[in-house]
Amino acid sequence: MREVKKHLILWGLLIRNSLMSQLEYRANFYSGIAMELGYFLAKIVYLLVIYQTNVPINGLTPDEVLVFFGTYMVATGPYAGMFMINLFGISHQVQTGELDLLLVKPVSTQFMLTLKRSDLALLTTDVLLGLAAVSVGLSRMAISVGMLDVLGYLGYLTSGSLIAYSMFLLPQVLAFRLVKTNALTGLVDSSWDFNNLPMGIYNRLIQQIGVFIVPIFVITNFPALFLLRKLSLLYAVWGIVGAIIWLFISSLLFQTELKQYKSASS
Amino acid sequence: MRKYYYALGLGIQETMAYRADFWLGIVSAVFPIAIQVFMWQALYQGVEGSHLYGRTHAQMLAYAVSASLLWRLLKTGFEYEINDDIKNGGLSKYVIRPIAYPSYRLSCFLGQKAAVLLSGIALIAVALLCVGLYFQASPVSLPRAVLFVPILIGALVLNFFIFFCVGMWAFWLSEIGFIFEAVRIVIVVLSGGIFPLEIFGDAVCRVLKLLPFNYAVGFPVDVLVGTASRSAILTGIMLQLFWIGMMILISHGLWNLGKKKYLAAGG
Repeated sequence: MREVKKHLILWGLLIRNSLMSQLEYRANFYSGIAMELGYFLAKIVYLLVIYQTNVPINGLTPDEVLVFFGTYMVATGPYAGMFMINLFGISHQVQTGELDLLLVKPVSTQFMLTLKRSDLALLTTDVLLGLAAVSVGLSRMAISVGMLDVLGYLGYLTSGSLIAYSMFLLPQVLAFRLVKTNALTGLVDSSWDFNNLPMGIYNRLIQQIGVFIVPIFVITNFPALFLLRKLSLLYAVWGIVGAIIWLFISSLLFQTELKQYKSASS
Repeated sequence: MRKYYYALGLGIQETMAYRADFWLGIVSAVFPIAIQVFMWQALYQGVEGSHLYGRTHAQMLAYAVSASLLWRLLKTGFEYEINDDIKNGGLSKYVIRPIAYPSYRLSCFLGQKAAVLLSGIALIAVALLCVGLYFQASPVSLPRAVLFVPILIGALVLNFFIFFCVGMWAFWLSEIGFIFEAVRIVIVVLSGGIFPLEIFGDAVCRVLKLLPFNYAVGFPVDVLVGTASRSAILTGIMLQLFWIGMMILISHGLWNLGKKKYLAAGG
């Protein structure tokens, strides 16, 4: 418990440092916001089509699709602002031997390697845009939200983020063995967009694979399903158990693969 | 002229050296294509009539697949190199050499794309063949496919000059950060790289079709999949040529203005 507290305090300090560094180079901060707005535009055209045609997609009304989309944006916040910038840099740190410095620090190497940097411009922009989209969707459907709904939504967003962290960490641990994983990184990143629309648009086989085998759909679909009161008991349990299992597997593989690391620097 | 042929050769060599990266970039198109395939399937099943935005289901899928592959095929990246040259003083070596920087960049870019263009076209053909087999009707006719090739080359040149102008911003901006990425994603949307421009409604679509971006992706794809009428093709070719000319003039102007701002720091 003491170790967890120590790492949480350290994480807070690292986030503060990242913010201070970003505000020093404000152009980067604002251009980060501009980029996320650009991505938002690219994603929202899907909704434009759905609203214009006004056709339910496999039983989901356009307003419900908006709630899924908003949740996808909210989940993209931590993905882009916290996980991606660290995970995609692992290969570089292995190549240059910068990892040596982290190995000798009296904190978890996995923690330092995967959570050291944060980009609050990306995080806040995505979260705020996503919450706005969710609010609009819920108000159009006249769904009132209570404290339990909010807590459950946040809970499934957290477990979804843990799954996202674990899932996207797995290909990166190959860097300890292969050193260069740049091409793989781009490919894995593009799979994130699978959550752009609700999993209901895919056929049953893809849905089952995306929930139980490669749980990409759990990340953003489960919080939205919970808010819309459409989350089945099986999914409700899997949303929590799956996060624990995936976190355990990714951590285990990280520790195993780290032993393959051979310092590249002198 | 020979020096630009060398630059062209350099571009080809560079792409061949990093061809795995290029092909993985193309493979990443699978995800957005899959989303669109399932989305359009659900929409066409639910809508009354067989057309959406004036297109049949087969035409819409043919558009989605071709546009998604085409913009990845034409994708630039040299704007970051231009920024690097300007910020780190690398431009100095081009200033003192008997070589025009924009022409050098164009030669490298054409060389990079020449190395993958044929295989890229073949990939689009295979994708369209799959669409054709699924709907049991070919979405592409031979004359359209032949016409597509020169229009594609025009799109390639136009795309170069659009992003060369974007790269010129580095002369005036102290930090680029994510600006190029933000601009790129907006251009992809406005060029019809995700959906046909008709989704924006008649009025906005008419305006967007007057801008250069449509002639880099949307127009070539419409020609290929047969959704552009003969008169629209004629007008489109004229506008594509017009915008290539305009973008050459604009990039020339920006280059001349930018050179005066260049400080040759570092290098």
